[in-house]
Amino acid sequence: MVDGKITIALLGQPNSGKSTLFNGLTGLKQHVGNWPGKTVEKKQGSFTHNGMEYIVTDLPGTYSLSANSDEEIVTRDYIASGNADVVCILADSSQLERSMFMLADFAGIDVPCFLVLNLADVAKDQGKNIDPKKIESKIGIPVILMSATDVKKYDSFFECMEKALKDKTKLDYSSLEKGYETVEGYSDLKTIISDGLVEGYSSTWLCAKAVEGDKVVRAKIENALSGEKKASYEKTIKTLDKGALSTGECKFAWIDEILDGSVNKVETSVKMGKFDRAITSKTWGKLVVVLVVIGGLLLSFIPALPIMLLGGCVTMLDEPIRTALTNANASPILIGIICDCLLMCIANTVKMLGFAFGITLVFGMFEESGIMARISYVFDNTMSKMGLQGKSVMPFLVSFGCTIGGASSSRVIDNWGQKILTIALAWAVPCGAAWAIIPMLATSFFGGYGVLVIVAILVVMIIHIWITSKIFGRHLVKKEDRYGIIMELPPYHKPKWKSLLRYVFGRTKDMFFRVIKVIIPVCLVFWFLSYSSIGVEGSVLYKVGTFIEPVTKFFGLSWQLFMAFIASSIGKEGAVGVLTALFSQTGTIFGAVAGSNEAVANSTQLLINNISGPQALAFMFAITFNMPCVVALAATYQETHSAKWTTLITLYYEASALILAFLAYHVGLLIM
Amino acid sequence: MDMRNLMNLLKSGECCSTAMLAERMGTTVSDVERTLEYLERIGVLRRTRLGMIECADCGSCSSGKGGGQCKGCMPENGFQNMGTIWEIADT
Ligand SMILES: Nc1nc2c(ncn2[C@@H]2O[C@H](COP(=O)(O)OP(=O)(O)OP(=O)(O)O)[C@@H](O)[C@H]2O)c(=O)[nH]1
Repeated sequence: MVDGKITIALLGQPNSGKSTLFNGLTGLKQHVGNWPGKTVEKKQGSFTHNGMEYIVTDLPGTYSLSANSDEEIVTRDYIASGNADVVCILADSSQLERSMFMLADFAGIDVPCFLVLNLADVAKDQGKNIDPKKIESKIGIPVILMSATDVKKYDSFFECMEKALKDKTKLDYSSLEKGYETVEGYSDLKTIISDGLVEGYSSTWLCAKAVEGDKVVRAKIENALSGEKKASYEKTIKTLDKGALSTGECKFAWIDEILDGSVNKVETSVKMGKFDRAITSKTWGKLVVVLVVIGGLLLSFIPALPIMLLGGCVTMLDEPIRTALTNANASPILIGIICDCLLMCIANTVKMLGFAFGITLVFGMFEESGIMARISYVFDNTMSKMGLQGKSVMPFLVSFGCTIGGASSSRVIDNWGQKILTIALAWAVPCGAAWAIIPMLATSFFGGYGVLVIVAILVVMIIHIWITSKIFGRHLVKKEDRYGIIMELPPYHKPKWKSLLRYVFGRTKDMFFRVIKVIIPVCLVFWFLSYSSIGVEGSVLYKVGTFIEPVTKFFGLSWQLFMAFIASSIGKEGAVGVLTALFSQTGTIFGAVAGSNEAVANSTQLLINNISGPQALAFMFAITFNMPCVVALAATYQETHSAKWTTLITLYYEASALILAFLAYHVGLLIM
Repeated sequence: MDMRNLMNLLKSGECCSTAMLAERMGTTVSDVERTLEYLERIGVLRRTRLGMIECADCGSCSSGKGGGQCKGCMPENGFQNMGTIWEIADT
């Protein structure tokens, strides 16, 4: 008591409603300062009740009373100093099993106190029936169930407070102590440490904190001890390991014991949903997820189709524009540039955007609804088996959009080897550009069967990642680094359509400009390289192409496709630029290769007529699993800081893409 | 809930959801949640909220170039719904 005023301290975890109660009690009579020597805010206020004047100290909201932060140390030192006549401990009634932890951590500090079970209204809405009297009988201090927001009903709060002050009620923690006695080292310490060895704290509290490894408390005890006791204290301390696990269990068990019979909840036990049960099942999980992903891809075709058709419409402009330009006596070069390069590039880009749009929309929906988290859960699971942290799932998912983003987001992984492995594996994930090009090519060549190609690519992706993890993993992660994870799955939500659509359109627009920027220059360069006024033999490209063809044929790639493959290393869309140029109607290459000059509707048709199914298949696998793009290469170097590993990864992917092409070609020959 | 048991489970490379863990340990989800919270507080576990937040400078969109958060890569306040994972802290 200071100058006849009584001091109350408010103690509770964040969001237990301390500030609300503080404001409710003191109104405007408050001032804010700092705790001496600390940058921790000190709030004090005052009020009068029944003619008595009270000072209220709002302590910082902390999770516990360990030495984890300045706030916690300030808080416990203040309470233990006895400066407050009574400590008002707040707990959130809507989650007592959690928020009573503060009470459990307080147990053993010998000052008068009472317990406020705040947010009573919220608990009531949850269907919880809390009996404060029962709790009171178990812990020996006044307990009140209230809502700090309901200022008009503070009467029983005052009653409680006055009772605690009058009777100097102390918390009965004998049953918690019984729990502590089973903890390794606790009883030994108990024989060394006596009550009040450090002022304000009981031996129970000091021993528990010493077991937990609280550095500040351990130092204080060591200072207070001397001679033989000090030596045996130090010896005991050395034997302790992770004592906080055991004392934590005791505290939670004590809370449950208090709540048992005091809280009746109309049990709305959250059972795992069917889908959650399916994906978390050891046997079915992966299968279900693979089916969901494939389903999502199929679904992506629905919004994709209209846009792909739009791309087809752009192609139809070819005929009228070509005729108009010819009639206007435009030079063949100009017609070539406009119709074969610009127009076809635009048409192909629009077609590519179709699927990119669809997939972004569908997977955005998956994400918002909580399905994506479940997919990533199954990935996580596999991830840690490959020696990666659960966090690696993010770079993977981001890589579906863009490998550069994937490489950058591996920054959160702190283990160097795991980081490199993550990036190395993320390269195998087809990026957004691949997801745009492959469906376009697949549907052009195989129509409805194109879907099967996409499924095949996904399956190969999984196998690829698995094999790559075996090859690279051995050198990058040690067995003992491989730990499990626990994941909290978010509840299911309805997607927020407006923001989702805005995002999908924004992303599609970005992609359009990005693709156009690559595709048109590449197309122009190749078109000029293949153009020659004196016939095929005159073009540089033809000479180089026919020279290397014997080798490229081995992988199932004609030299044109091989050049497109090389261009895809710059950026996947580059491949489309090359194809557009090489299979244009005015380009002389095509005539030479096909040996005829028959007129076809457009260059897409030309493409289809001149590339066999197996070749197309080989090509699609080659560009999908090729290195993602030069920028991704740079990003990889930037994140790994290792020229050696960046080079290894690059060579590995170039080689594996060609091997996959070879396999795809031969499988194609067998089945087509 | 037996915390040492939980840690051993993680060390053995086991992965599970909080709901599964509750079932396995014969306890409630809220007990699992408070235990995880506690283990995180004492620095034994590390918690990561998954979400598409680390996407500065991805280069794939117009807004990513200048650093900062890449708006083109996610809806506003979106893509935060990927769940939370706990793993053993390195220390
Ligand atoms: N429904 C309801 N809400 C409450 C009650 N008490 C507090 N709140 C709300 O809970 C939230 C947190 O309350 P605060 O008073 O700021 O909690 P605090 O313990 O001071 O939190 P820190 O300042 O972080 O330590 C606020 O939005 C309050 O309006 C209550 O009895 N019922």
